[in-house]
Amino acid sequence: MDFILTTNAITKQYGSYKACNEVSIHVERGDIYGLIGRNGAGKTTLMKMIGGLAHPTSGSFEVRGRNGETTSQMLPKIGILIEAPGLYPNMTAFQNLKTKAIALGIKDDEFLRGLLKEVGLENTAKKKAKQFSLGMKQRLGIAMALVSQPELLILDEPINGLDPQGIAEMRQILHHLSVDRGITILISSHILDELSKVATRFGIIHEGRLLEEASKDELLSRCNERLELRTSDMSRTLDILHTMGFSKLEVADDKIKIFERLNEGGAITVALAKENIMTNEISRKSEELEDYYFQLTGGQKND
Amino acid sequence: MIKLIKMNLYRMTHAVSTWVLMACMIAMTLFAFSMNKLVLDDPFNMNLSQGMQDVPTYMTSIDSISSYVQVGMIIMLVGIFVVIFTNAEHKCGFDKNIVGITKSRAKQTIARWISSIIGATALTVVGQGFYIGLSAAFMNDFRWDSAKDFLCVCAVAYLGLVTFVTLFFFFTTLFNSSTGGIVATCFISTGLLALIESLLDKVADKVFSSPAHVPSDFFLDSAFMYLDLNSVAVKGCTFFLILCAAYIVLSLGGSVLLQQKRDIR
Repeated sequence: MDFILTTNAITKQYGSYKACNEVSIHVERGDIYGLIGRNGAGKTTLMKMIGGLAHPTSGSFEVRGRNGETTSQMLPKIGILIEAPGLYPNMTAFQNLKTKAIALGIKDDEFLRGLLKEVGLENTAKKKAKQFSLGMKQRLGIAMALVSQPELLILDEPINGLDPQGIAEMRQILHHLSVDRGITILISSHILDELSKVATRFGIIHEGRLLEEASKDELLSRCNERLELRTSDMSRTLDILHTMGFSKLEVADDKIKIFERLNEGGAITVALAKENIMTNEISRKSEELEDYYFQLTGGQKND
Repeated sequence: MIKLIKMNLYRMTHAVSTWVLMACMIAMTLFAFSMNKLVLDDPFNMNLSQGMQDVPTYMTSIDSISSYVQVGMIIMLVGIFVVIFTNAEHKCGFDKNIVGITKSRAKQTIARWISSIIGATALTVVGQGFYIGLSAAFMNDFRWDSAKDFLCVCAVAYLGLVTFVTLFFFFTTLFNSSTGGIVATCFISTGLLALIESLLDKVADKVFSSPAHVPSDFFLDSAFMYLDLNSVAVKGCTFFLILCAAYIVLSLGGSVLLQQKRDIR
């Protein structure tokens, strides 16, 4: 696999508190990798370490296969927008971009105007950053991250606090950057619904630990409608199900989960009874991504 | 490094605070010049009121340097500039945009320090140039010293300024806030620190009975304020030069170390 970013048991400890505890994520080139987690789960800390803003207490990370001392050489290829966008409030959007461009030795003003156009800020003229709405600031933050023409973009809660229109615009920008420009994106959010609309791969982080890493398809399949079956002899049940032609099966927590032909529950129990296998439980279940997340983290929904 | 310095100068020239401080510096220069002119033009009345004798009725170009840079208010203005400029990047979070693009944080810190010096130099050159210009134009008796002596004094005064800039730069980095930096700056430039130094001097005097050096000799503010710039060209000022070098190395080294170890929040 072509990983652009991997972390190896990366840990950040403040005193006795581990904000990030041996987290190992794997981001493939072209992914939009969604980091899901509550506030304080360790998402920002992880992103800060990858972006070079914080030093890991232990562990390491590789960018395009480079690690150790050579990782810092790859940092210019990472664009970051972590927490609030870092902007000079008394400068215009263009001047903010220009400031970073000078540090990079970029003299092409047209390139900077192109970036502003890409994030929909081409008509802000002499308006200063302090007069921008939150959505505009976030978009300018993304443009700032793009100045270094990064291969990997790290966006920490970019949709936080945006109105529905702002969220839709942000989704469009992310889609454009991923599809049209081929930029790999690592994005965090605690708004699962929105993240599920853009991300292609997910990492679920809770209390500093990575609980699960899965592709969008894998994750959604775990949330899909299914039959859950518990019997007196699970291994023979599996054989019988295979004989009946079921292939989309999963065994977890002493249960067999069946993801196809969901209306054949009756036929299954009859087939099991013929083989003297007792059906202890059979039920049809489905859940939202959010439910799955709460189930995984042992939390509850805030109604 | 050059690119980072250019970036810093770009943001410096686009910051409102730079121009406000420049205006303050010019206003302060006018005020300082007016006061000096008042004393020199009418020494009799001023001497009577202050009970002073032998105050010269003319001003030399070296006098104009010492009466300008050795004033706490000018040091304070320069300090405020350094604090605001140094902390601006962190305050608005812009440092997050650039920390990844250079491989060394030491380079970033040194580039910011050099930029602070350039900014402080510009402020002081404008102020000092204006002051000398006013003195030459409007003082009844203004005398130019020899170019060699004048340049020598300028160099020593400039070294003092650079040392103050480095010290204020260190305090701002240490406290990581404008408030902390400005409090430290005011503490040093308004003479509050000098009060503590005089207490330390008295203690040292009692303990060691007239030591060759008292603690205040090693404090930058006292060393600079009491440095006789008029005699620098003749007698030299080796101790002051060594002291400045020590302050610069320690303050800059400390700032670099802090930035390298610290996480960006």
